[in-house]
Amino acid sequence: MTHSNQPEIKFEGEEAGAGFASPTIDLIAAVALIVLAIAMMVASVALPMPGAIHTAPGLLPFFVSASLLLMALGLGASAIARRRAGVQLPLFADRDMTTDFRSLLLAIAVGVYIAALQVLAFQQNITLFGAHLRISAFEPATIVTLCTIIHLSWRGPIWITASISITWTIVLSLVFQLIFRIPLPGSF
Amino acid sequence: MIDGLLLALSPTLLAMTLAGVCLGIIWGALPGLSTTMAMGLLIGLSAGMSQEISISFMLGVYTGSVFGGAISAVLINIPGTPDAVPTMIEGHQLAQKGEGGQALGMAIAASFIGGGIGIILLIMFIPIVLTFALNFRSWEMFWLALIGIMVSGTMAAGAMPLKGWIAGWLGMLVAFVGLDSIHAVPRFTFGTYALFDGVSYVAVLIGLFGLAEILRTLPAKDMPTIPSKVGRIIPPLGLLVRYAPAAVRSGILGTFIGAIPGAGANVASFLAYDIGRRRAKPEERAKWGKGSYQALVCAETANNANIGGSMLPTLALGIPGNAAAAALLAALTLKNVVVGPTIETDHPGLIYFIYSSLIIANFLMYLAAFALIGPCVKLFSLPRGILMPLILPVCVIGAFAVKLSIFDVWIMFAAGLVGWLFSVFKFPVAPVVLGVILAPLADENFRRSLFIFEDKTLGFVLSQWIGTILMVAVILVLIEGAVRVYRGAHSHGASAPD
Repeated sequence: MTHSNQPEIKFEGEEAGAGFASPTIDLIAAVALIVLAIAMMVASVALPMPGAIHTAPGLLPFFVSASLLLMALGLGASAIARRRAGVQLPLFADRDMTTDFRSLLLAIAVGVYIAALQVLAFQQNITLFGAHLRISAFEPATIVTLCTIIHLSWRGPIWITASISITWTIVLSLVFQLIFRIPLPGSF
Repeated sequence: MIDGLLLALSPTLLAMTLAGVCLGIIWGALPGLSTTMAMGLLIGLSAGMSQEISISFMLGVYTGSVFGGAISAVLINIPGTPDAVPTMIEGHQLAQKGEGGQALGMAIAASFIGGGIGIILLIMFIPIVLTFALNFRSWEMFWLALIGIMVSGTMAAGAMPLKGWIAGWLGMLVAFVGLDSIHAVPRFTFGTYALFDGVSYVAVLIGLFGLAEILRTLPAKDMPTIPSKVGRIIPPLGLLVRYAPAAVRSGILGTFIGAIPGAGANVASFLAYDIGRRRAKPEERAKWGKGSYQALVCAETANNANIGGSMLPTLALGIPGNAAAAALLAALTLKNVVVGPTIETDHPGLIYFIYSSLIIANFLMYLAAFALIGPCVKLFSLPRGILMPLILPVCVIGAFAVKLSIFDVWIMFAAGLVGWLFSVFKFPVAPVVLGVILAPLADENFRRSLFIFEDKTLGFVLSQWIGTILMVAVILVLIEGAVRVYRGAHSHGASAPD
């Protein structure tokens, strides 16, 4: 017996959000996957074969790429079938383009942060209350990145933003260096 | 077993398990932070710990975070983890009636019972599975790895299993990068020496579940409303006794679902919730969706029982039960622990230590959950714009810590971008992780078995009955998925707007 006033609860897979996209999106994905699969098949065949074909390094990669090609064709065929059946969803039907644009800006900020850790790498060893610490590009780069991202996403008072960024960076630096004994990125 | 229990009860390990449980509960309670994300980030952190400490800590996090999702689900109507959706539907209705505290108390008790059932069944079944698994040779291990990736794909993508399989296959292609394990031939390295070691799966895991989550949720605008008070937390004993049969049934169900590679707590809680509704008495069924304690118990017992279940294939076969178990497997590999059929001979006593750590983590979860509800409510008021950026440097350190390589941080960044793109194109990410972890197992065993079968007939190959059964299982999964894709495509077409 079902009750009409019960909220609809529907299992949509182990990961919410995964599944059918608009046919155009699925078609784009299918084309990209077909190109990738063919490139991987060619690269697999081009791999050297030191022993018999049964143990060739490119054997399973070739089969995986070939089956990926079939799956991509299936995805494309399903997208075309849905399009013919009248599914006319906009290209990014359930996406908020402003949010996606912010995600891209955030990704750029993260890329710049990692590049800063690599390019500006330095190290300065200090002793603080008997504990040996290493100051590297991690501390300044993390403080600046956190300040920027928190300021842009929260827009609270700048002194709170700066305090949180500095405190969190110092906590991470101390915990990883003194407790877990893990060197931080941004040094040599 | 006693030695394992005594070791797990040593003050240091007890403190680390408690720290893991508390961190897990808080992490799971915060919307947007999943169990797998916690496990993925902590792999890098566990690199600096001893083997016992890292196992205790990570099992604590696993146990705590699966329950933690219930807190935000009940109190702010946002599931902290995806498996807490049924809990959210029932629990929040109860919270609106002023019974939020009691609903949380029931969720804690149900999680504890579920965790217990999962551990008992794990201890009961692992010797049987291990004995059986000793018959698995290269051919069988190849098919088992393939099943793990395929079932994960089927489960992850719901109506579109094809996308799940594609994700798993892409993960396999990533894992092929690096020196080939038999001839040491560089594969797909394009002359880059940093790729000779292969792509770090820890970096991939952190990127897919950590950075991608930050990229997805930080720019979103919605913020939850915060409850002012929670009310009585400890549920009456009568209520617990009344729903005990439903809890036991859901616990058993959750454990068995956890044992299926790729099927996680989400499948377990939804299925237990649905079966619970079908089997409930009419007066109880009428409450379903409007605030039913029985429904809450079904969902919460199943998702915590799933932990014990997911450990079964992970420990006995080396095939992770779900993405969180894959992260645990990665952490064990970092400690040179190779799990699988020979775990008892390769690492004597380890399996008992893992049982003991799980039991202790379950008890600590029960105690810590009551204490942490208040602080969690306060944490909900922390703006996401502050919280999410703080995870970014943890992702960077986690990816860097394993090999102290900035190249791995770039791999993490690339995986994060791919994870975000996957959400745009509606592809699941969990099968990628299963693909990355299981591809080396599949590759080596596939070629080894072809070498063994070199002069044999097809009849001989098919007479390897375990391998043949597994091969048939793969074909059945493929057929079932293809039927689902076909039906899904047609139902989407039929319901399409003109």
